[in-house]
Amino acid sequence: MASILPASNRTMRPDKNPYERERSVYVRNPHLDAMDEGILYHLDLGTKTHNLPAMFGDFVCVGGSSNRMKAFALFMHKELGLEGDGDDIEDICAGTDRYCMFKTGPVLSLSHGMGIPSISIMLHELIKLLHHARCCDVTIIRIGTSGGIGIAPGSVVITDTAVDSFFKPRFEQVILDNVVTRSTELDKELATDLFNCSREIPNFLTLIGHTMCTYDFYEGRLDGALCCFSREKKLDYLKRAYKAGVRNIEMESTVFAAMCGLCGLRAAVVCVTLLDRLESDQINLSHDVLVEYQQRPQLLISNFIKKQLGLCDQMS
Amino acid sequence: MAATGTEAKDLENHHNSDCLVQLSNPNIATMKEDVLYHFNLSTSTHDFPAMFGDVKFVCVGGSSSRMSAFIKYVAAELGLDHPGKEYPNICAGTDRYAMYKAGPVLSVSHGMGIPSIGIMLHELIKMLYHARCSNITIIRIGTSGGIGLEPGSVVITQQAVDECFKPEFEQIVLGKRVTRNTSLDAQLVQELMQCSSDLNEFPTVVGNTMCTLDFYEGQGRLDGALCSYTEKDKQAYLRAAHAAGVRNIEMESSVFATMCSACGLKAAVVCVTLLDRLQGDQINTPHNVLVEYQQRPQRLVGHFIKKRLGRA
Repeated sequence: MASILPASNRTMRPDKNPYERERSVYVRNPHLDAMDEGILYHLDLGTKTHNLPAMFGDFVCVGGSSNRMKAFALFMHKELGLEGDGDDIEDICAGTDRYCMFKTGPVLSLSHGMGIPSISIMLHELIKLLHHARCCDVTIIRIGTSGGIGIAPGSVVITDTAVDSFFKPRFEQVILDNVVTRSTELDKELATDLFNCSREIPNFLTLIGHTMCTYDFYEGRLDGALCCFSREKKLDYLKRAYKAGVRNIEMESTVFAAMCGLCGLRAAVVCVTLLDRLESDQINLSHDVLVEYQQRPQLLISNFIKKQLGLCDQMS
Repeated sequence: MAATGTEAKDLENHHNSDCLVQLSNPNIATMKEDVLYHFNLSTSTHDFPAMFGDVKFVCVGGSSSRMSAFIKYVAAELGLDHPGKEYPNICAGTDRYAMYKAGPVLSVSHGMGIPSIGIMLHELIKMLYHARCSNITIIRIGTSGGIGLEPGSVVITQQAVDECFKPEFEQIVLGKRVTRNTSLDAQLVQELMQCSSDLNEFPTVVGNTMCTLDFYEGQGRLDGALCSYTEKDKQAYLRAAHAAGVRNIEMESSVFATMCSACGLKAAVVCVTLLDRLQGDQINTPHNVLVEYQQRPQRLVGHFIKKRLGRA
């Protein structure tokens, strides 16, 4: 009986399981090691110009907005109790305006812009970066906003599986002129750990569900420049999505899940919903409410990381 | 003579009404307020006709810093500039996109990839509609990978093609596949080609542009995090693209072409090539040369706008 750990302790993981093999970040590209130099063009970094192993660590958080990811980095600086007020946190990718990157202790924060192509460029270069830096046991989490289906605005959805516009758990990638299909399951244990963390936060509505990832923000909405369907057809589609297990809609989760899964990264997607798409299409929240909602994924991730690092006593 | 004058005037009015920015969405006109969320602009908080009613040229490109540089360049070229004049970001309340204006020219950034430019175009086109703009010419300026061209070549796109070299764009709408045509305005292409001949500063070709959803695997690169093919496979693919008329590869042209034509906007794509993909995958050009290459589409489009306004 004494040997059985209480369930709540398991999520803390203060000690690494000595029998669990460390998970390296690996690229699935035999050409890379043969290259003399790796230029990460959109991040303004390279293996010849930067000492990548000295620069990078254990947790990676990614989100669309550069301002939001900078705010997240400052938030983590405070939450981890690091020295100084964080004013000196600098953008590691300051030489480009494609993405921004901040590092606070073991946490790397990056922006990825909007949509599958924009995040996939960032992920290719990030994964190469983590590989060149010889990082192990990396947890990567996408934090963002989304449209909800049948759930209250401000709800936080932890994605178990990302699905496409046909509600299928797959990501179709065109490679040369062929279509390759990849799985979009996210790390189940990580999703559960995050969900358990969320239960300790007051006034924090969280659920685990499917997330639909689309290539277009508007065609499915009634308020784009183009719209060739009726309100009834839109609602029918959204209700079918709900019935298929979809609880929110965003624009990056399928490629994120597919690429991280292929490269040995434990990945999660945590998005707050800004509206219920069964009720409306336009985001009409007041500024204060919008800011509060947008901070919810950060709050959850902060709690999760502090638990992982064994900083429970410092939780607010 | 008087009759001829009246006829010309009527023709002009007809022309104007024909080229009003239009939407393919009956719902917008019935909305009490239209929030352009990613621009941080709204019809209830901003006077769109006053802000944008005089816009005639819209230039879009991925990088916000480049679009800021472009508006300064074109303002100087049009003689609108003066010492200390600044062009503030009209969308300063958000970091999704940036927007700058100088006289009749609007410059907007669109990030990278089809979804990112797609969102921008929906909101931009609605903005131009609410502002009651007419006779708009919209041009995407950017960078690309060349196929069989010297780095620094400028490609004026006649058709945007997909990864199978077909001139179409497939959109999923409510779980159904919709295919749209991706030809660009032929007269505008010729006019831009003529402008480049006038300038005689850099090599320019008219060709097809392949638009991919992915920069690494989608474009046959060997230097991504994932790669399941060989250099030989890649070369075969790129040569097949070249044989099909493709001269450059980028990531936004197909949705740009299809959305602009659906809404009555005359559109063009003008991209400089930063490398020849038949020779390699990585951009190894010195920084100062890259900067000069990146300015080439701006110089061509700046000249085009000057020429257009000089005739007016």
